[in-house]
Amino acid sequence: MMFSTVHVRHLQGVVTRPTAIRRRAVVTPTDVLDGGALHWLLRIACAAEFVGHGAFGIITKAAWVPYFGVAGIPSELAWKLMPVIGTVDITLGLCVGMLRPVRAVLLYMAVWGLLTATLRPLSGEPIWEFVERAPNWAIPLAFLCVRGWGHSRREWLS
Amino acid sequence: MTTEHASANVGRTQLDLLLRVAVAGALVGHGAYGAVMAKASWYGYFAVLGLSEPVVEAAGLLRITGGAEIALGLVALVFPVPVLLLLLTAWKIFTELLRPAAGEPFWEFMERASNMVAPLVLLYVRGWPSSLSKWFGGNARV
Repeated sequence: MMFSTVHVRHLQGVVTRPTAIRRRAVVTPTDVLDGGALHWLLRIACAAEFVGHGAFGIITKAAWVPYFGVAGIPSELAWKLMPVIGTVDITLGLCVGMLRPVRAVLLYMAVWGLLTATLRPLSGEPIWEFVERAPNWAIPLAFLCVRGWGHSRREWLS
Repeated sequence: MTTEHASANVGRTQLDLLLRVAVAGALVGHGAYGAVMAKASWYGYFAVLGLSEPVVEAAGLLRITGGAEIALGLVALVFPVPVLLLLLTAWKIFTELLRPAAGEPFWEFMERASNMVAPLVLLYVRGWPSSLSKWFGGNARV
């Protein structure tokens, strides 16, 4: 699959920094449509996914107990840990959605999304439960790809 | 400059592949709930549409709907045609909305935001088609 130089610049610059649109002399409809929309689509998806998932941790969910069991955590402790995990999920979701999509958080989201999806078949659920959740880790990873891999600690925290 | 662009091209290709896998996974996995697992919760979603369990059973709607989702997911993996990606976005939003409509917590809908957005993100990354014919073509911008 080949892409033109314009598209590469578009992906590297405009999408990763929507504010760059405003700095440029000429703004095309494509810039506005792709740059802002794609950035916010990914951002809202990551935020909603983690806030929604975290909500189940706060209200607790019996289906989660076997997932803790995979890691050797007994059910009594699992019920206590659910709200903690839920709070972390919601906090990170709100950070990405309302503050800024920090690269390190996006990487955490991708890893956590893959880990939690993997726990399902490992706890005895059908493999399809894992397959259906591919976007849970792929979308945060895609957002990280679009923002660009960090080359320094400062970039990872920005 | 050449090296930088070559590197970016690889990145974009990987992003395209990553999103294709995400879209296919969401569709194939969800389709398997109906076609392979015959999940009981699906009867509740059909009930929202006015289709009772006996009707769904008699018409084999779980297998038909699930099978269609699996097929469309595989098509999107190989041929991510823009019009298909747009239809899949609408389909995912519609089917996920059935969850709260069937009495499940709203969080079930919200948690699946990535599943709904994945086809639309792939469409944006591949390029929004600039003409009607490109909606039915392969790469909109290439």
